[in-house]
Amino acid sequence: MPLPAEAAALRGEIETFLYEEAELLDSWRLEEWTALFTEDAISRIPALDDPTRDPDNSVFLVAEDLPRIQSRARQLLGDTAWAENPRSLTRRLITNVRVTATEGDIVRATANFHIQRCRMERISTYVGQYRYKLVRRGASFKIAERIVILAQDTLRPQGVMSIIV
Amino acid sequence: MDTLTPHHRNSVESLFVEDEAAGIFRFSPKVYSDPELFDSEQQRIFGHCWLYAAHESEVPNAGDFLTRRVGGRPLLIVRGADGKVRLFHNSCRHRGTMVCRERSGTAKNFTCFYHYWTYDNAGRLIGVPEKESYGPGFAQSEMGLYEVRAEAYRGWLFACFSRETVPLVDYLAEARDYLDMILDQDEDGSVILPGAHEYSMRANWKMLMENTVDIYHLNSTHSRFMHDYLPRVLGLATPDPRTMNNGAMSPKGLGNGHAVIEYRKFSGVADAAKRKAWQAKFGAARADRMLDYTRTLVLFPNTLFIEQRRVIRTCFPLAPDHAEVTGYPLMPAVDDPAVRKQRLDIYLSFLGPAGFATPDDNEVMELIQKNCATLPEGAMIECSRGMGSSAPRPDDEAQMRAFWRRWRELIGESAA
Repeated sequence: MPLPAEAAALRGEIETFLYEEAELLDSWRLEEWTALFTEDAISRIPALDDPTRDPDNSVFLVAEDLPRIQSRARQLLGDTAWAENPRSLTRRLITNVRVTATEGDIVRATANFHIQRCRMERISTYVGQYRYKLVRRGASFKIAERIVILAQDTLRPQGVMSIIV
Repeated sequence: MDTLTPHHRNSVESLFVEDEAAGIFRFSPKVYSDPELFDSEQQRIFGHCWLYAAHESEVPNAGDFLTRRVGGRPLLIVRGADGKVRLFHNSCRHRGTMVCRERSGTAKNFTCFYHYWTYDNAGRLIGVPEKESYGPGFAQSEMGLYEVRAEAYRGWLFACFSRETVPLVDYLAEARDYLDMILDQDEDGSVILPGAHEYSMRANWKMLMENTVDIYHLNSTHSRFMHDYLPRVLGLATPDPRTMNNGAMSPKGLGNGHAVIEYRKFSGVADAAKRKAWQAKFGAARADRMLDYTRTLVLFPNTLFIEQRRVIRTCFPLAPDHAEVTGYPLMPAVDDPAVRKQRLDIYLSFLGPAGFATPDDNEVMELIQKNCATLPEGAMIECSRGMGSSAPRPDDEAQMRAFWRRWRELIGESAA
């Protein structure tokens, strides 16, 4: 079933935005990446067993506002984030992009990801779904919410998660 | 217990160099990598010691259960209809199948799907399809799930796979007083919040016992936390390593391999009303100590409690060079929402697989592990810091030596 032209165009815009974001992360242009967020942005990775919990009453893997998002990026770009020094090689495959809701200048979208990370002769993969709340700003978007739902029940196979997923 | 030959006993002794007068304590890197020592640990430590398994708040109501590996053994931890929490081997008495495959939930009964044998939530076998095929010697009342020896201390449930080990309160030795000092602060009790971090490291489990009570590494390994997160996000001054341990208590062994470090809180002053109330309740000196100091506790062999971050952390070996780590957030049952939020931020910013510190600790331990099996004969790991000092500090290593002396004793002792 073909999408109406307008919906297809919007999805194309979102895809372009997400591909650009992935490229910034894979090429370690993390300062530029933090510039994609709104002032009141949130970035979260909920617990693996239940992504619906309240971050103020349970433990997440990541639950950050903009100052923390920026701190994470600065730390990773500095030379004392030992777990990422030397840096990982990563490539992200972003697929299954879907616009799930639009309201005014807000677009909610989901996308699947498959990230391969290689460092010091070890390869790990992270697979899951992004859930975005994007706000239109001129010809592009800003990220107001970035929720990462990992499709795995524990991080034991990878050990830890020192890159930005 | 297995029988150790005198040769083995000597070889355990020879792994260590201890010279009090010279202030030297060293051990062979083989303690982290040797497969025979790993096998001995499985029997003599994980088959013998009390192991933290769960917190009673995780199964608050009758029928609440969770499944978890403890000491490598898949367990079913369930609160029976009678209100009692029991620990069982999660294994059907018929053919040994794992009976419960869910992480947690609430159930009256547990049915093994292999042949539909069914157990109630007190572990009794209550259903055997076509039971008439069994002979007169088949006593169903004796065919409940294998129960594990378990005892609780103030809500902390421990398992022990030996009948010979002393009761839990005796096993905890002087660590009990420190647990009291920590848990008395939660005036309405403590709860484990959901979202335990489950991760792993390609390193020996004992390294985490040392790393967690290593204050010396804070300014180097955790430089990014100390120099970016603390000042630039929280607006707190980075503690000066030359003065941050001023006024700290001496680290100490607490018997049976348990140990503690106790240092002044980096920031925050308790409100006067709380201090007054606690002074009346616990005595002035103890109340001040509870409020102004913070503690990190090692419960031998593999449980840690970091009071500042409110984490119960366990580390179970899978192989000499592979361990699984779990961090459970232990919070006051009743908490001001703003304070709870702050506690969670303190927890999450530092700890966990995506925290600003844990990945760097993993990196350190994995880099140690890469060397352990290949260093030249006679190579030693250095653990002498503060040895012989009249006033040892938390950034010394006395707390680690207490752990190692108990480890050496258990691995090296002759058969009972």
